[in-house]
Amino acid sequence: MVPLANGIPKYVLNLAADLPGNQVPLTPWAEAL
Amino acid sequence: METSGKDYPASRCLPPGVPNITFAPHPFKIIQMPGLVVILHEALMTFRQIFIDGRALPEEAEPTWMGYSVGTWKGNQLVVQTTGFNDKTWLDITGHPATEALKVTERFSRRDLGHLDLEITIDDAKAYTRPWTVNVGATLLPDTELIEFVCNENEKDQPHLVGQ
Repeated sequence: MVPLANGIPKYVLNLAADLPGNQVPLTPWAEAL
Repeated sequence: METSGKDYPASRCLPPGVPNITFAPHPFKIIQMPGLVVILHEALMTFRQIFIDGRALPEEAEPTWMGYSVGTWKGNQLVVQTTGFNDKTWLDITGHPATEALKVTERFSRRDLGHLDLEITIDDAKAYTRPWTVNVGATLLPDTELIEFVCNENEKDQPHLVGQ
């Protein structure tokens, strides 16, 4: 098997690539990183 | 690029972790046998063991890069839960964090002979205020085989990476 995406593997770059606004619900701790 | 992943673990030939390994642009092979599913990833020559013999997740697994995985069949869907991660992996090159609290749930479904659907839920209460889910897929590569991937042989990229 191989990931479906062609070209640059977008989920390697950003797992949230297909989420609205590329946003994930970060905690304050994570936002501060 | 300011965010070219200098500190991304895989840029130093370290295991990418779960689910990041799944998205590497390299093939992987799923081997199913009674009580166990093994995924061989060409990327960094990494493997996963998914125990489907009915055992529970350990309450305190030894922290590892790839975690400890158990799976159960729900009809034609394999549901895999993985915990026991160290806090050294990133979810992606962007740097979405993962901590030792990470629990990944993967739902593997074979839509047809050539396509695998995969729903991945990230649950890490230290890094995220609620679980979140992405849906990805993979295609069958018939009549091929995995080849060696020796990351740190003649590796020359890492010193040139910048950013985080």
